[in-house]
Amino acid sequence: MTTDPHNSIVDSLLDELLGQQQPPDLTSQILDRYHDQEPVLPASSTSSPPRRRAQRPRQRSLRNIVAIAASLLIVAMLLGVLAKRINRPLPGGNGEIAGQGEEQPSRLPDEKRGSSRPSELVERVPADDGVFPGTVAGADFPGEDLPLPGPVALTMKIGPRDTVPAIAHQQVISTVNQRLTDTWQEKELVPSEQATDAEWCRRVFLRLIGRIPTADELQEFVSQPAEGNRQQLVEMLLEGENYIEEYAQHWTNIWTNMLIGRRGGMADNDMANREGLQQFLRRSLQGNKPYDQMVYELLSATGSNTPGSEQYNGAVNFLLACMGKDTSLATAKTSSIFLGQKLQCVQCHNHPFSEVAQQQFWEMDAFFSQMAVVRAPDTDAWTLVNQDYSSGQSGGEVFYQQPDGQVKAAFPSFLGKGASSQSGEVQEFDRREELAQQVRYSEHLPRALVNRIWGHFFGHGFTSSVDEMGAHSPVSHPDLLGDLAVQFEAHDYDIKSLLRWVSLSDAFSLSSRYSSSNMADTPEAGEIPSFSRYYTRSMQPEEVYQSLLLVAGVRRGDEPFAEQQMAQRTWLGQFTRRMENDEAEESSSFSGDVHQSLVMMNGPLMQQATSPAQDGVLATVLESDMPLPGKVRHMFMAAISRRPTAEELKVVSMMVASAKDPAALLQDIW
Amino acid sequence: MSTASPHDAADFDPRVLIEQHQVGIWRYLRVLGCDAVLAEDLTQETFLTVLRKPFEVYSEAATAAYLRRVAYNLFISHRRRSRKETLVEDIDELNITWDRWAGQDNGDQLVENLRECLELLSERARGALEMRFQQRLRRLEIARSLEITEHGAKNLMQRAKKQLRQCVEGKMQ
Repeated sequence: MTTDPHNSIVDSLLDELLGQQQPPDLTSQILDRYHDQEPVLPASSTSSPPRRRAQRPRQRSLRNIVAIAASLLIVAMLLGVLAKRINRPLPGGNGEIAGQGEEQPSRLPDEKRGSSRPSELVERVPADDGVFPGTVAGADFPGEDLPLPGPVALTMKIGPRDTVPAIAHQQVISTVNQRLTDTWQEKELVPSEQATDAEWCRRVFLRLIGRIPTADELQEFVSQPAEGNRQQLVEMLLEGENYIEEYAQHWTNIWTNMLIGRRGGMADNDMANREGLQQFLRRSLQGNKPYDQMVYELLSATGSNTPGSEQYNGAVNFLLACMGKDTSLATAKTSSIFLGQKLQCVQCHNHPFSEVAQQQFWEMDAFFSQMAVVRAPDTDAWTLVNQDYSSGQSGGEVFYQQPDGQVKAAFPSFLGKGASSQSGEVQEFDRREELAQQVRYSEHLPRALVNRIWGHFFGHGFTSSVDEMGAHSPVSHPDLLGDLAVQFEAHDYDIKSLLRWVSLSDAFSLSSRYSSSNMADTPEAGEIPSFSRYYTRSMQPEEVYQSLLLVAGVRRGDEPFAEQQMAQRTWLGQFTRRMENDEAEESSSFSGDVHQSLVMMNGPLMQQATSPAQDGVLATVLESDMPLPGKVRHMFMAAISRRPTAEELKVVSMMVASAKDPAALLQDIW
Repeated sequence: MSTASPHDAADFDPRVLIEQHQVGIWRYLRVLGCDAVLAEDLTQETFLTVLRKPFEVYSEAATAAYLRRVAYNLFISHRRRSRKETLVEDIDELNITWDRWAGQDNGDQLVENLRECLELLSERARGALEMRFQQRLRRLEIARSLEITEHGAKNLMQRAKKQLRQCVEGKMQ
C-alpha cells in the first residue's frame, strides 16, 4: 500500500480498467460455503462435500470436516460449562445476567474489596451487585482471533528459554551488515557513500555518551590510521575510564525519561523520587548490569523511594511514578517499554488493529493488584510494599468494565499465557515477582530493546513506533531484528554489546546524503526505512545541554551527580511540560520553535558558551597564538565537527581583515 | 436498527447482503494491495465471517464500513501469516478517501469517471499507463519503448496519475 491513498485507489482501478481485472460475482460460492458452514448443525455439516474456494481449489477431506465439526461441538460444550461456572451470582446479587447494552451499576461496595487493601491508595474497577463478572462475550471484530476470557489459570513453567550460542562481536556485525545488504538488493537501493570520519565521530559521541566531541577529541580521531579506528573509538567510549561517567549519565537520562518522563518525580506531590531512580539506573549502567536483571529489579522492587531512608531501593520509583487511582499506567508502561506492546487503547475496548484484547490488558494489570504504598510517619519517603489482595469474590480476580457496560473478571495472565496461580495471597503467589520473571524470560524483551536501541541510533526503529511492535505494526527488517534479539539474549543481555554492534554496523557508517539511487528511502515521509543512508535529525535536549556545557567550559563533572542532574533538570524544565493525561505524556517545546530559540539565544548557559570571559572554546581560541585559519578551524571543529571549507575560510579572512576588533568578530562568528 | 443473524432473522437474506456489497469489498481489498485472486478469497471470507455472527444493521453505509473493517482485519491476518510488512498508519485516510470517492455505489461511478478521464490524457501518457497496467511491462521496458530514461518514465506515469486523480476529483464535485 502506498502512503497516498489516492494513488492506491487510482492504481487498483487502473488495473481493473486496463488490466481487465474485473470484480467477480461470488454470490453463489459464498452462499454455498455459508450453508455448509453452520457449525451448530453438525449432522448436515459433516455430510457436506468439500467446497472449492475462488480460483484456488483447496481440497478438504471428509475426515477433516468431521474433525472440525467435532472440535467445534466440544468447544461449544466447554464454553457452555465455563460460562455456567463463571456466571454465578455475586453474594447479594439479584441473579440476573447482564445483557448487552443494559446500563450497569458501576461500584462494588468497599467491604467487598480486600480488607487488607489500602483503598485510599489504589482503587480497582469494581463489579457491582447483580453483575456477573466473567460473562463470555464474542469478539468485537470478527476478523480478530481473540482468546477466550475467564478465570482459567494455566500452570506455567517460567524460566530461561533455549537460546542459541553467542557468537563473536565481529560475526554479529557481519550478520547485521549482510541483512542490511540483502534488503538493499531486494529493494534495488544503492546505499549512500560512507560518512567522513568527522561525521561518524560526531554521531557516535552523541549516540553513545550524549554530547558532541571536543575539537581535540575529533582531531585525535581523524588523525589516526583508518584501519580499526572506529572500533577503537567505540571501545573507548563504552569501556574507557575517562568516559564511563558520561556513558552512565547519558543512558541514565535516556532511561529515566523513558520510565518516568522528563518531569516525573520532580513535583512535591510525586510519590516517585527522581534522584532515587537515577541513582539505581546509574549504578546499574556503570556496572553494566544485564538488561533482563535490571528490568526484573524494576518490576519486582519493594522498599523506600528516597536515598538514605530505611529500606531504600531506588528501583521502586518506576512503579511509584505509575501509581494513581489504579495501576493501569503501570500495566501500560510495562508492556510498552519492556515488551514493545502498547496496550493503552485496549484498556477501554478491544482495538480494531490490535491483536491484544481488552481482557489481556486487565489480566496483566492483575499482576499489580498486590502493590500498595505506605508512607512512613514523619518522613517524606514512600515505601512500595506487597499486600494480600482479595476482590471479595472468589479471591484474586480484578474487574473491569467493557464499553457495553458488562463488567468482567480477569485473573493474572501474561499476554494470554496464564499464570502459576490465581491466589491473591502474597505468601502463596507473589504476583509482581511472577510478572517480573515472565517479562524477564519473554521473547518480547530482547526484541523490544533491540528495536528501541536501533531507533535511538537511527531515529527510526524497525517499526513505526518502538513502543508498538504488535502484529499490526510491520517490522521493516524482521530477520535483522530477530538475529540481533537472539544474540543480545545469547550475550546475557549485555547492553554494551548491543551498542557496539549497532554503532559499528554499515548502516551507521553511511552518509546522510542521498543520491538518485536511494531517494526512495524516506522514512521521514512515512516510508518503511531501509537504512540505506543515515537519517538526519535534531539533537535531543539533553545532548544540546551537555554539548553547551562542553563548549562553555563548564565542568560539572567535579560536582556530585545529584547536583549535575539538578542543574540539567532546571535547564530542561524550560522546555518540557507534563500533560495530565492517563498515559502521563509530556509535551516539549524543544522543537525549533520561537520559545526554544529565545531561550537558547538569551539563556545564561548560551551567554556563558559565547562569552570570551569564560573558560570555554572561544576564550581558548582568543588566547591562543594560533594563526587566524587555525583559530577558525578550531571553532568549526568544536561546534560542528568539521573543518571549514576553503570558501568559508576565505570569507572569514576577508571579514577579519576589515574588522576593527578581530576578537569581537571571532566572537560573532562563534 | 435491526439485528440479523443466520438463525433468527426471517427477513434477512444473505444473498442480498452479498450482492449489494461484494464488488465494493473486492475493490477495497484490491486498494489495500491484494491481487485479484487474494481479493476474491478474502471477499468470500469477509462475508462468511460476518454471517457466522449476529450483527446489527444500521444503514447501508454502516454495513459497508463494517464489512470493510472485517475485510481489513482478514487482510492484516493474511499478511501476518505471510510475514509481510503492511503499512497501517494511513488506513484511516484511505478509508475516508474510499468513502468519499466510492462509498455510495461500491465504486461503480468512480470507475466510469476514471474511464472518461483516461480518454483525456495525452496519447503518450495513456500509452505509458497501458504498457504498465495492460501489458505488465516494467518501468525500464516502458522507458525503452518511449525512448526516455527510466526516471522520465516514472515521472510521466506519476504525472498521468496525478492528472487522473484531479480529473476524478473534478467529476466528484
